[in-house]
Amino acid sequence: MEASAPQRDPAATRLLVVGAAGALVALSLGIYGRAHDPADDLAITLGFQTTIAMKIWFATGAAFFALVQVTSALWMYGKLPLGRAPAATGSVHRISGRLAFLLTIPVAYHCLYQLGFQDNSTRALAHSLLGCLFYGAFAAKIVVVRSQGLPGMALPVAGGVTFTMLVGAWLTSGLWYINATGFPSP
Amino acid sequence: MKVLGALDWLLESAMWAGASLVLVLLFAGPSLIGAKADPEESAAKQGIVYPGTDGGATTSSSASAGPQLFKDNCGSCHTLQAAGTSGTTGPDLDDAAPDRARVISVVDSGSGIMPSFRDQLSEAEIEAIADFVAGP
Repeated sequence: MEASAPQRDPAATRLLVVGAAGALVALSLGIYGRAHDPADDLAITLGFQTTIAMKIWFATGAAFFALVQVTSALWMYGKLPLGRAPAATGSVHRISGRLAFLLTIPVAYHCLYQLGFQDNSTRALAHSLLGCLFYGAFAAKIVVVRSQGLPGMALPVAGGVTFTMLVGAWLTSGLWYINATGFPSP
Repeated sequence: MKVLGALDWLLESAMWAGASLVLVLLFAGPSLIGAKADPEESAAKQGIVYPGTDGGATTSSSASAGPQLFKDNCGSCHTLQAAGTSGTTGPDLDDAAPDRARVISVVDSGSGIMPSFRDQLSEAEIEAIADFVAGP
């Protein structure tokens, strides 16, 4: 009797694809930040008085909407003592997540283009790593959302990691700045 | 619910468009969206001189970074009451009381066993440290 060939676990393969997508995005941003010389020709305020005000407001807004997204996710998964989540919770979950991501875009652009990947202090290194990992986790989460046949925990884990990276990036930049100099006026 | 669905679709489109735009701008530069400025204008709009950049001259924001820069980079080796540090590897700076030019020279080029910080600190940061150590 012939031995049957070992069966590949499709879910495991898909998880590898998820991980690879996230790693590719995170590494690409990190390599760009490292290789790119910090610039001094970017003037982007998007209606705020200064660039730093724009960044603090947008980053804090992103952290807020990320909190809304994770809270709505907990509600949908029945982890909150609030009864059954209303029908609109799913939309609130997606919209808050998209708003959070949109708000990070100009912040990340300035960070990557004007400042690059920095390691001159523990805080700057942590922020640089967390920023890259956030987008990697986000990319992985997008793949998870659009994939089928993944373990049930894949989406909550991907979402949780994405949230953690974003909040970590905010703590090592926005909150650090607010503690040092106060919340900037818009 | 239709409104939420439409908003969801709009935001998703904006998300992909924004991400694509940023990827292009990272390589094409900000001139594509008219956000390119000369270094002085860029520094003025920043609102702060970030540690590790060479953009802009020493500003009041840079000066206020002096104490923290000293603590992060010098305090482990030097004692300086104003910074609250008590390092003993290098000279006690309260006793040595170097002037601004001396601080800049030593931080930039090193001295004896003290390494040069030229590669780790920008010119603005070195000046901020010098302003802090030497005082007004």
